[in-house]
Amino acid sequence: MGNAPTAAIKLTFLDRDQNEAQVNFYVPYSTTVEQAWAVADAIAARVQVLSNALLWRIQLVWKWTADMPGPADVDSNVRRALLLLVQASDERINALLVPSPRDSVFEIDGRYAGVRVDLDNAAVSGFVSVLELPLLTPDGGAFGTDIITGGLSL
Amino acid sequence: MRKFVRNLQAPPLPWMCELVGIETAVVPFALGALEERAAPFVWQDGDALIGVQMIRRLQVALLSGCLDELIASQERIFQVLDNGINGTRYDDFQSGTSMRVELVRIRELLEAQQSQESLDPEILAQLIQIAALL
Repeated sequence: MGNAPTAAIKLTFLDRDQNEAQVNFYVPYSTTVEQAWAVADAIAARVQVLSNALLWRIQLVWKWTADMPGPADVDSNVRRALLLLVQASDERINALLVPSPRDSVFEIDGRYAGVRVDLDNAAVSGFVSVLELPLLTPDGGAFGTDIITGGLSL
Repeated sequence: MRKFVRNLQAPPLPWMCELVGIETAVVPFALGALEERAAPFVWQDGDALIGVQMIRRLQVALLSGCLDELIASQERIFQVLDNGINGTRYDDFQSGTSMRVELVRIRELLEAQQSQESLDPEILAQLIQIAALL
């Protein structure tokens, strides 16, 4: 397992017809976020002198990929997902999708067997420790730590 | 080519509640279908927050099994009446304290009625009162 040797700085431009074009630059993987933003800003300033397209997005990407991935579990299927619904302190309900959930995380009895997540399952209750990390929604709100329910999403 | 839905207008608050019944086997497909509309870009400007929350609440409702509580409540009332009128015994009788009290009253009234030839208006009134409480 290992990282890519580089991190990517991706600049996306729009033309008059809303067509997109992307320009990629690469910096050492060890570059910090602050350094990468400084490089991105410098690149953006110089590219905009060369181009009259509209710069509208910059992405900084550090990527990790397994070098020699072994075979996936024979029962794994990423077309199935576990939808976890989490309530934040402001009562907003947020969600995250876990691909290819294990069968053991669902209720085994009753009408929701195999459909609804078993909140007493150790793997599920243990996931709260992840939610207690400083996670945010895309608009900057608190993601929440209270898993209220969840289910199989197809 | 896939065509994404965009610029949906979120319905204004307040929202009314609707009780529907669906097969639980359908729930995973409904959750997946709803998820496609849980993305902010699906909703028109200013409606994303309320639109997405509407989808989330519906997903929670699909998994809440609220009908279980209603059916259990009906079952408890049936057991009270069946026990009081027919004397049927339930090993897992789950009525609350107030229902047990009413059950005793129903039995007493029925026993009192058995000793009379016609329905006592006072007892009838009490039965109606108990029925209203249940």
